[in-house]
Amino acid sequence: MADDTGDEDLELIQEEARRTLAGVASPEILRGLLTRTGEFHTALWDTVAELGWLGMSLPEADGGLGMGLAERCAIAEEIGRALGSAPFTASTCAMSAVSRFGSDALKQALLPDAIAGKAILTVAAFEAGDGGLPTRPVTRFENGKLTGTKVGVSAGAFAHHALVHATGADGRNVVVAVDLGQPGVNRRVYPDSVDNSRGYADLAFDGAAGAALNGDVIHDIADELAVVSAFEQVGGGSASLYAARDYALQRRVFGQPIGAFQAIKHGLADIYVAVQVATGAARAAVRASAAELPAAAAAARVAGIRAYDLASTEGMQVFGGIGVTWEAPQHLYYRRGRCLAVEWGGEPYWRNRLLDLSIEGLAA
Amino acid sequence: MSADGSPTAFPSDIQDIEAYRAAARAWLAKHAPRFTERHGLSQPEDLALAREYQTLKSEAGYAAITQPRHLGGGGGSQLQKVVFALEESAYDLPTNYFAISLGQPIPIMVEYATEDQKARLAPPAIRGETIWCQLFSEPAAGSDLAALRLSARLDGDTWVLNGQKLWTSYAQYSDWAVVVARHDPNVPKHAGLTYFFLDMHAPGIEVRPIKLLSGGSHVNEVFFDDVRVPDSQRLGAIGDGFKIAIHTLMIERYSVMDPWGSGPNVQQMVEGLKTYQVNGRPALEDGAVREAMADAIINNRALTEINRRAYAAMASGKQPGPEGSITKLITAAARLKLARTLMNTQGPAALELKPGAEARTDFTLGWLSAPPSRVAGGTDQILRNTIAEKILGLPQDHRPDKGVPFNKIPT
Repeated sequence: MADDTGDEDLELIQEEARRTLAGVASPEILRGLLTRTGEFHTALWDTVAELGWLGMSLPEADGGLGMGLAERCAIAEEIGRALGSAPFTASTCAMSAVSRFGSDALKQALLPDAIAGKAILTVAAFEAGDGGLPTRPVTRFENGKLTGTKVGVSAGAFAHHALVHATGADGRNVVVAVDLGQPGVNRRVYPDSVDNSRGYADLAFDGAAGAALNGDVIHDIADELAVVSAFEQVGGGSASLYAARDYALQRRVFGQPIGAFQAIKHGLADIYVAVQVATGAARAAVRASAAELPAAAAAARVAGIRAYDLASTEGMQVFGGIGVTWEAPQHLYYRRGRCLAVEWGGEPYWRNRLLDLSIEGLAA
Repeated sequence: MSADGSPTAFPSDIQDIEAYRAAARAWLAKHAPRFTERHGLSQPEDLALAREYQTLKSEAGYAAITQPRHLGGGGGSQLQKVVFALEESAYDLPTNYFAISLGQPIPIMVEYATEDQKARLAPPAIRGETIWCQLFSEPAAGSDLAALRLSARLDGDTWVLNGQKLWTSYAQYSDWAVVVARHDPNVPKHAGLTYFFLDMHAPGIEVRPIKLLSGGSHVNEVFFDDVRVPDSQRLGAIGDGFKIAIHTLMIERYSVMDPWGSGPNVQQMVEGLKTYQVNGRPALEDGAVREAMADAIINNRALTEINRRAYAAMASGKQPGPEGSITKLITAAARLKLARTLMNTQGPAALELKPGAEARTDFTLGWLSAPPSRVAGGTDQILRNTIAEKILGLPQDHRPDKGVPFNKIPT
């Protein structure tokens, strides 16, 4: 639960989301999507849109429901748990950035369709040769035109608009909203990837028109992606843990369930610990003040990466032979966990950011 | 004075928890500082200072906060106790001598002893005039507590105890103890145990401090040679010893734990390393150092949030979630690893043991004092078993001694 003390509304939202998603998403659907390119789970997307989850944390003035980040994170956790294959985190974090930092014209142009699920938004932040957010992007935005290439863009295969991390004419970082349907955009969808439902694509811009958000806000966007995806990781890591637990109770060797052997028990206990640390760090980030958020988001991201990796890797090991096949669902967690670990910047980037912020915070 | 004769304006009367916290904070700010000047005190002087602080707390209603007022306690809630302990932990106070005494033996005694016994024994313990210890572990009974061998033989209306206890914290300062002993070796191990309290000054008891690897000696061996305990000091029925022992251990489930795991905080890490270099580069830029520091920071943030939620649950009258049980498991192991990494960075000069060092700021002492915390209060392995069995619902380990009379278990 994103918060089960004091906020019963949040509990209700999360329970409702869990029930709804159990009826829509399933490992079977993801297994099918893995074999195709450039597709995601449209029925899930329609449900997410119909239930108002896409705009839930936007202000009412922007057409949203005026709820907080905690509510959106509760949904992300349940999507993670259900292996939901739709770009909820990418699109809602991009929508949040447009709402916070976009001009009225940009909000008008993007948000109504995005809230309705008719348009998908994403964030294109990463470049070749850099495992994290580029300090000075090679991609440039000058005279209203964007030039350069973004790699491994999550939902890049099907997004209608992207928020692009670029260097502006004045040499400062700028985030540019770009319509991906225009001629100056070349979209190279990855023909095959670790998880094809994520819709990875390289986006090459050759003089594409765009509108800059107000201010140097890439870290605000990345921090929110880190927090929301941390909840997706918590949900997925937890699902992977309990799938392995269930199997350990059922599978028998040497006359007893494998879950009676300490080698298995202690391995699952270690996953439980990692998932709880990730849950605690993620919840702390939701509660963090604006000043504390950057460090809290980095801590949540690193803890989330580690928890899902551990849960999916060691959870898979519990299954033995069947775990490494397409028969069992374990490879789905293994793939999804790794995608979430890398697509918003890898652990070294976020770990060093956490340290820099913590040490810098001391010096100040 | 109020209707029941207790002083009015007791802190536990303050219903709003933030108001309670503010009152506790103000009281501590006024009284605590003079008890923090402990450097250079001899051990008896330190203990005398500790008793003085404890008495002051009891008069103010901050000693044994959850115990009833007529016994000298604070008459307050579990949450008030936790809040006061959190506020108190901001000061380096000599509270360690009473942590066990008032944490487990006194609450369990108050639960099972007669009114007369409670009235006679609890108030001096809560004021800090007497100290109680907990005689549970033995050389062959640590994780497997029910395997204990200290024998209790009934002679008329008196029990005669023979054998040995081990790892007893603060036994050398204790006046009283709770103890679990084996009254019947002919039944399965859990069934043959009985629980008592006893006078630590009784003839036949010998306490020998044990030197731990960091040099400290707060734990002891306790030997019993025909120690006589009146049957009136039995707590619970004959054969209920294991049940009451587990009850004893559960009392402090939600005690306050430092989310830095008693290791250095990030400021102390940076202080300790900022003048060091590795390969001509600042040590604070080394990947392994940064990874270890990041681990500590992440654990701290996560555990702080887990604690916050546990207190919030208690405040609204709910049971905290089971995730609090991960605290000791992760902090104990992480503290050891962190201390080792920080020592590595400091190079051979780190091998000197400096007098008056503190484990948080001296990484060498931190390393030397870390291993016991992976053993005390449940080993890392037992804690993993507990998580696996109690939270994840996995089967209990195979136990060949199950149902076997204790004296038929192969040794």
